[in-house]
Amino acid sequence: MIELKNVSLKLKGKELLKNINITAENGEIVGLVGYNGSGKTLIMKCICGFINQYTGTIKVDGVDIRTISVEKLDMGIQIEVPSFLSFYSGFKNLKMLAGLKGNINDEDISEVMKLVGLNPDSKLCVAKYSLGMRQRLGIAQALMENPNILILDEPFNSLDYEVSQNIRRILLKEKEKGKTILITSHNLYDIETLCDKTYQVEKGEIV
Amino acid sequence: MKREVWILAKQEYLSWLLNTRNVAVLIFVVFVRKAVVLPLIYMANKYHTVLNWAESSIAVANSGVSVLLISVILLTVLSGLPRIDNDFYNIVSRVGMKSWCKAQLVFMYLAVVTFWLFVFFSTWVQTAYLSYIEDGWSLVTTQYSGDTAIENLLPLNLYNQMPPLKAFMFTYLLMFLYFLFTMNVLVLGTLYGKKNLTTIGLVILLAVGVAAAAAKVKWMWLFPVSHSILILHCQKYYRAQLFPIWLSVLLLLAFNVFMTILIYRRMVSVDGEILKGN
Amino acid sequence: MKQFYKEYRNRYEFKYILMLSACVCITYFVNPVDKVNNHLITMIDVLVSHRDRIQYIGWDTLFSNFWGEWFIFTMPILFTVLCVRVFAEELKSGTYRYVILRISEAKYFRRIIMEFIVTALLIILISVLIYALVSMIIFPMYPNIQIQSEDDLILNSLLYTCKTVPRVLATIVFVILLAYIFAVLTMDKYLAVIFPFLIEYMVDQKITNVFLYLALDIAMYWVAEYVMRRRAEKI
Repeated sequence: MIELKNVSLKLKGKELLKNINITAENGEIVGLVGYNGSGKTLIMKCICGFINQYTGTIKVDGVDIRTISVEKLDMGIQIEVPSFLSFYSGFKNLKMLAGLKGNINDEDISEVMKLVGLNPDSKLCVAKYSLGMRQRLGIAQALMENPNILILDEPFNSLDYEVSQNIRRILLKEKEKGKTILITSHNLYDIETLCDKTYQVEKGEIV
Repeated sequence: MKREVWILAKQEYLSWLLNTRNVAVLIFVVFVRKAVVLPLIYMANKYHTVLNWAESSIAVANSGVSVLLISVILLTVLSGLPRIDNDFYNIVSRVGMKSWCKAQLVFMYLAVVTFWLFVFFSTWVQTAYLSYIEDGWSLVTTQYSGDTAIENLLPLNLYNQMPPLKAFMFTYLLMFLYFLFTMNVLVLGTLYGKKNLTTIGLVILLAVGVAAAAAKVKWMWLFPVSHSILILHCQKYYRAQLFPIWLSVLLLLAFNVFMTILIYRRMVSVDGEILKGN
Repeated sequence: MKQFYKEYRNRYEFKYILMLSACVCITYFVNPVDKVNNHLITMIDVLVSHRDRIQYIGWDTLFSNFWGEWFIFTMPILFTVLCVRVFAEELKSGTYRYVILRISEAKYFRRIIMEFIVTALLIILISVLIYALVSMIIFPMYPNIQIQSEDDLILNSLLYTCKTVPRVLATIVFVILLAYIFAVLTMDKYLAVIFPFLIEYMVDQKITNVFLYLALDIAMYWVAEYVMRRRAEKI
């Protein structure tokens, strides 16, 4: 569960977020919609602990994230443009990230890559991946360790219809497992088909 | 230290090694060959004699110009550190900020050690076939260096004061500490978002320091680079040192420890977003 | 011409050209200008520890040998780094495709080569101006011809300069074309600067004749055109 109460963020005299109140329960997909630059990604970064200069409280599973280190939050995140080491293959990149926690093995990584439509045996380096392939790799990276919470920033960017449908099916399956999923999009169709709850963000405020 | 710190440090180190920026070290190899190695080889061949194994490596670190070049190349090679791109989110969400910071510090120390070893090996290997392994200066240095470039690289105030092994150890200890100093200042500047300013400041500090060392003025000891050049500490005939070597080592070491603590504290306390430059 | 000037100003900032010119100027100051106890000393040595020699150094000494070994050594880096940085980034990011689709690949090729050459000429001009200004302030500007040895001939002869200028210019063109080729092949700014430096260092050991350099320049020009055409075909 994710809970934001009266979260405001002011940096260099500019108010970037104003009184954000969001709740995402277990087994729910919550959507943040809004124009570019409205503050959706900023809210996600605050939830993930990359920005700590806000006022108010953010709780994940009842724990204030300021009192806990970010790796203990059991989150799978994909924020901004997915970035990987360009001279390694997609599988190698995921294997290196998985090795940090050591919770999953090569089969799990292969499975999740196949789930998002990527070939785990391909030796193609990430530098040669298309935008859609990188986006899928980013989603695979967020899903692979089976986290309780998923934070995905515009997961359907650069994806064709078939792949997008596939990702939607995956997210609905994850939701049925009782996970909390927070996604952002500026595509109303994605939001309408997936989300149980939607928050519209405009100029750093929930409207 | 935690397992993930070593894993992450190893990953960062391998990806740094494969970076094309490191090709810049070839400029150093070519310069050293031209300015240090070829004069030594020429003199050794001219007088049908051999060199001590450490002489070329010591000569490289005792020339103001080559220290300047080595430092500029070090700045180039370290300029992308610490690596903070969008992959930063993927990593920090798995290991946490503290482990990430420790891993970055371990990796950066590894990078400096690699560069330091490269400086030694790239010079030594060029004269290895012409060298002997004993603790005594060669005739090229003691007898035949007059009126040549070697006289400035391996001068009387070096070979008259200590044997080559001791000179090598001090030279490379001071060089290593100076590399660490450069790395620490660069990283701290990057963490405060002032990377370009820090780089320019370091180059100016280096250039002025080298010029002061060349002119042998009293205030040259204000500059860290002067402390890294061994021959500046010694006199030609008297045992008393112009500036104690042990004091230079202590100053550089203390400064490095202090800077490392500052870096760690900054890394841990700063927001990831600000670290990214947003 | 006006269009080229406008585009050039948009792509390259003058402060970087000035910085590179200052670096090139430093290579002029580390050339030998006088002899003390059979040792050749540089201008920096004169200014720092042999100030009594200033009065003996005339304008023909100062301007006869300033394109010396350190200039030749650093020139492949200093003359190409600015243009390679922009060009390699343009290739890597794919921006060049948008340009080629508008102005044709042949025009793009010629434009880039022109930019390299203009940058090199600007750097030479500005560095020589700075050098001349500083020399005029510090040194007396009268001829000082006392030829007694080959070193004196090199130090004091403007004829020597006339012999070296064409070779230096041919070397600069060679390095520029090499940098262009490596930038197109590797799309990496570091490799495109370092490899020409290495190749030029090796070639410089073997070739001293200006005509051989000119022949190399022509060969490199055709290679550069070929690689750019192949790159453009991949769009």
